[in-house]
Amino acid sequence: MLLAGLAIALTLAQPASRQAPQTDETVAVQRGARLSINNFAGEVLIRTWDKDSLRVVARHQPRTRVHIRPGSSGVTISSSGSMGAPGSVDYEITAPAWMPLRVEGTYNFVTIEGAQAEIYANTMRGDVIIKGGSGVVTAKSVEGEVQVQGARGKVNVSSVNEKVRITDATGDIIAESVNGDITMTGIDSKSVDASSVNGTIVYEGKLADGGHYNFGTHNGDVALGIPESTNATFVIRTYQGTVSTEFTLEGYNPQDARRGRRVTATLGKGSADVTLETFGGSIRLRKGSVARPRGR
Amino acid sequence: MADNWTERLSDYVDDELTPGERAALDAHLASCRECAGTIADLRAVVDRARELPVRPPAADLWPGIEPRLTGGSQTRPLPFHAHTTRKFAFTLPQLVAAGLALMVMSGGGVWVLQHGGPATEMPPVAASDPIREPVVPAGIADPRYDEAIADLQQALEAGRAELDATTIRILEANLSAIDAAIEQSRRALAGDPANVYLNNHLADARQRKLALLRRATALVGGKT
Repeated sequence: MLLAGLAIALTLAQPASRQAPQTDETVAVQRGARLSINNFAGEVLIRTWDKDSLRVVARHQPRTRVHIRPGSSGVTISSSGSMGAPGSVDYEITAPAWMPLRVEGTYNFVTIEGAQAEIYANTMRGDVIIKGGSGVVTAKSVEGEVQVQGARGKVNVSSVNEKVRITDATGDIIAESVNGDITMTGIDSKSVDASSVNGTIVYEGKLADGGHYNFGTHNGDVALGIPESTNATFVIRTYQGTVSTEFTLEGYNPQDARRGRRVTATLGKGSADVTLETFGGSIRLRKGSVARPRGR
Repeated sequence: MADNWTERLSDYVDDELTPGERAALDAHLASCRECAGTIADLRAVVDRARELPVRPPAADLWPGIEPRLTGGSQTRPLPFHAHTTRKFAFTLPQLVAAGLALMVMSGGGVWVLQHGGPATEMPPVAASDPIREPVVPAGIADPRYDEAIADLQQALEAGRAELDATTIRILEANLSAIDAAIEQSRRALAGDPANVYLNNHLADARQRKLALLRRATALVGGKT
């Protein structure tokens, strides 16, 4: 039923982005207020400014109504359609940089730039791109690519089927995928946990003294590009994969790394704990940067 | 692998050694990488065992699933014993049993064999799989896990009409990819049941399948 409704709505609708704005409202917001958006289909683009107000520009079919509801905890934005399905709405929103943001949807593309607060973005089909964010930054998509850049705090990112990319992030990081690759560059974190089933995991950045890092995949590769001055203890496990390193690791014997056997090797003072696991892929330790895996 | 301390490593993890024994073993661990690794493995097993029951499904299917996981009204509840502490003690040979227990807690092997669906669209995990052992499903299935998976699969099947063909295809492809990982881990475990890495890896894969199914059924319910 939902699909049928969607099909009708999308058949009748022109792409929302080609239309003139049907909604253009600005509402005042108090500090501490949150913004929650639920958009069934379309695009949500949020930029920030230094005003304590929220501007909502929306493009949609005349039959679709956009509801902007200020409340005690913040502002909620949603839409409804006269034919049942809410249809497609493209939002361009300008929000205070301090405002926590929550965006949910089904066929929804999300872009958030410049936020300096908590962000939660979750969609089924569509990419999620976040530049900024602090506190808890969560970005999830089932079918789309997820990118987070410059986030600070606890970063929780996942895509089921597409790539996950985290750049220049500071703080604890959790990244997950099933089929997509996970790429992390310019990371400054003492806690990173990245896991996949078929995806390759690439990490470029520092391994902080006392930090904990877990990289695990079933079928993909694990590639780390780290400074030569790194102090880390590596626990390496692979069942039928391979291990290669550009570093001279104390206690490392390549012959030991097979059949899931635990191999412990030390670099420098060994003060960071790093676990590298892949069932069938390769594990690579590189100095500096990691060349992108071929064919991926 | 075998030295005088091997049988005491589990006691060490459980903090059941005398101070003198502990100090002696600490000194031994500083020079024995093998024992230090085993200690880490034991702790990982214990940590995972503690973590296992703490993940209720996020979807509203939970009320229907929970009674089946916990026994429901058809099962006589166990008496509550005050001040009981959950202890984990493993001798090294028991690590095998601990690994199998983890598998049982995680379950799902039988479901994979019976309902794994069509061949995965994912590329094969390895071009040449050196594992030739026959699949031995008996003894590693967890009925509760299987029931939870079956319930979620049923809910997803019932809600297929609410998802479009592309979404269904992608979800099925990803579930198949996880199933392939589970199957390969399980086959490897059949030939190496004491392998801590494989036990943990299999448990992770099963948890991942459960999580994806929960998310998929949440999609059916209109939630992302």
